[in-house]
Amino acid sequence: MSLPLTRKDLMIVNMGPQHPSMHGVLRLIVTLDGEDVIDCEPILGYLHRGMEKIAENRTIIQYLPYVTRWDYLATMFTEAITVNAPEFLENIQIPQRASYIRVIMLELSRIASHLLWLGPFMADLGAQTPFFYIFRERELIYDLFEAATGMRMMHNYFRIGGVAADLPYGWIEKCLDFCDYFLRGVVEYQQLITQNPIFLERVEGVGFISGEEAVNWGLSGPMLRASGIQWDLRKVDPYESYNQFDWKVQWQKEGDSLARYLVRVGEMRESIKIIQQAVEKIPGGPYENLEVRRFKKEKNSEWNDFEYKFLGKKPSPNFELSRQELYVRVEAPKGELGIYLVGDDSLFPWRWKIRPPGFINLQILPQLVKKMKLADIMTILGSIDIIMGEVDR
Amino acid sequence: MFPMVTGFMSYGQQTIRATRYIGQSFITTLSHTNRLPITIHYPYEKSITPERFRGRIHFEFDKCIACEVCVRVCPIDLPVVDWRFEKDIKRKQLLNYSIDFGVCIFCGNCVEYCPTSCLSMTEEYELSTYDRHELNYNQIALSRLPISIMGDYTIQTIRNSSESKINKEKSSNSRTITDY
Repeated sequence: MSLPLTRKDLMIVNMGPQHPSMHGVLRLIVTLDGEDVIDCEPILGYLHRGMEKIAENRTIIQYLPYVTRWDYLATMFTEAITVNAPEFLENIQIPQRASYIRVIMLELSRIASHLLWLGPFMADLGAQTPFFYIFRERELIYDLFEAATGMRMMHNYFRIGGVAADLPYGWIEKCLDFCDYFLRGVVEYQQLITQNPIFLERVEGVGFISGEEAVNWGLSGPMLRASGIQWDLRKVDPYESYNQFDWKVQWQKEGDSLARYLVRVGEMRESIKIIQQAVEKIPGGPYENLEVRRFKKEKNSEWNDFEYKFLGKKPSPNFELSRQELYVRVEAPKGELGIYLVGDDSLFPWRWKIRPPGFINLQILPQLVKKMKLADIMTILGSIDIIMGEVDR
Repeated sequence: MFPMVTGFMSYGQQTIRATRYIGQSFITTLSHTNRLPITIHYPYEKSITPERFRGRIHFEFDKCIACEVCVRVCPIDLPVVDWRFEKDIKRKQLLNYSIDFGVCIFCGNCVEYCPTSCLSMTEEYELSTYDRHELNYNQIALSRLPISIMGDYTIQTIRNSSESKINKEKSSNSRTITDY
């Protein structure tokens, strides 16, 4: 390091894994020269559970309950990618209604994730009030999830070929009510936070990433979009039915923590817009393509033929992954969540490589905190938005 | 002399701006003083679980055909299905069935895939014990129905706090049960 040192003996501080405002079990070994950060080394692996290896001896349906434990704040996205990978591998169509239900669930989950980013981020900066306000709204999202899926966080709702169950009666109206309520909530947050001089002092110009740097580090999601790159996989690489809705990619060009805050708040509004359109246009019909659950394919049974047996009930899933490989990605709240899947003509995936957005985004942390003050570490780390469940997997 | 004056003026403007924004934040906070709490006092008040709530699993012994689908869809092959093949009827006879709820994560796969619907989810979620082995339920324990929240007289069931407050004012009876 070629930084001017004011003293010879540097102080090495261990932040985490039990630091109160450390997000999850991340450990930072910080070298300090007074208040100035000279170096920072993140230590990972405290929450490593071998998720990729577990996938190699589970069928997809057996593996689905595990995936909500990667990113436990944006649970629907992990499920979406887990079913999208086999669907794309085997080229399975899903009914339009299922696709719309997925979009609604994904966007609700994005709001929940951004909310639980906003609260702790503000708490890191010393503002406690938003932390309690976000839980009020997040609770409503989780109530919606609970009504549709049966669980608040570990939904186990998406299935290969659709979703596990249709939306319950009256859910759509509840969802619309929530949208109206939440838009008022966002206004409230912005009144509280966006113009607040103390907040601005702490985030403006802190943790600057230029557009080129962001691309070179492989960042994705709000981290990338806050640096002036209009890259959103929902637009760039459309999946589900995102191209049927009218919405805009949220982006800022400043590249500091404030820009990342504005991108995320803007994304919550856009999500509400998508949900309102999806709820408005949701088509009828089946919610699951039961054909993919067929025990074994009979040789001479054409679809809709005389001898063809339609499936009315869910048989045991016997879903074989053919000997192919592919990379599938979705735009999770934290960035690009991808799966590199290698099939082997068996029920179990041969390889299930997870590309977690948080892990890739965390790389840039040491570079960002160097030459900053100690108190800025929490601001920068908060603005990166990591979840250790998916960083360590 | 002159830069000092401008410095003072900009400082004054900053102070006024800061005061205004902080005042605005306080108004937002104060606007919440006129509403009722959104939390509930859990052990005494409980919210009604939705229909699809995934609580303790209920099992009907007579319906089970010992096909072991529940074992195959379970992430950790948790249900223990003990059966014997009866030669005279050429069928599997179920002897014992158990699920260890200390290990179960209530993902609901077994319930979803059971071909005879002998498994179902109940609304029971208070499964704490002093000994985790007590959570290993056999077919007898699995077939017990949970105490309905509605029937439990030690708690008051509410949907949201504002409604219960209204009901409390209306009736002299302190216990309110609001059904769907």
